[in-house]
Amino acid sequence: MKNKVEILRKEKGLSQEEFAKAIRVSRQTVSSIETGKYNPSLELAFIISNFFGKRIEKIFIYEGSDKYEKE
Amino acid sequence: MKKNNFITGLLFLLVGMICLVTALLFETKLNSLLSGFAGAGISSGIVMLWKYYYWIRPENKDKYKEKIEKENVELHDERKEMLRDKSGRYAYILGLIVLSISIVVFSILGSLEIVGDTRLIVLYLGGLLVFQYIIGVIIYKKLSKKY
Repeated sequence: MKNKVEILRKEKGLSQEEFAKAIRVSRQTVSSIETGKYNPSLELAFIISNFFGKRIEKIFIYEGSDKYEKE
Repeated sequence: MKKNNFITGLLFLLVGMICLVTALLFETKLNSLLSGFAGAGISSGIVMLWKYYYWIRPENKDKYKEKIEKENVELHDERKEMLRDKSGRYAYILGLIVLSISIVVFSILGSLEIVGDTRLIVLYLGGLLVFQYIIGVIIYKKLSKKY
């Protein structure tokens, strides 16, 4: 899964530490989400999308969706 | 800081002191164990009490609030929870492997008479292996019903 968390965070002028504090997770979690090493839970994904005021699918892009839609 | 921390610290210190006095006054076979409990209780108690007095100081109030907030975030951080669960799972599997190997090793050592009587050790390790496996299955089934 790809995401635009890093771009949106930088647009807001926030450091990873500040963003992590705002969404109540550790800085390492923010870093892992941004690098794609860790996919957040649905709840955290909603928290992030609410924080940026965007729809969840605009931030998190599921790359395997086509395969399942065809099936 | 909660008063509970003070009470817990005091209890540790008291239990440690009771163990120390018992170990010093009475000559029993449990003296080494009592000394261990005394050392652990007294040192833990002192540390807890020191922490309590350090954090209740007015100048440390904000620092303490920040520390607790940070600890809460770290504790409930979903990625860290996932990592803790995964490491627990790996530790469980490795534990089973180590137990299985130990049973074989002790059986061989016993058979070759390198170590005296290993039957009790092998039986205990076998019991522990079965217990770990069964408890793992039971917990899994309970959790499966819950979620």
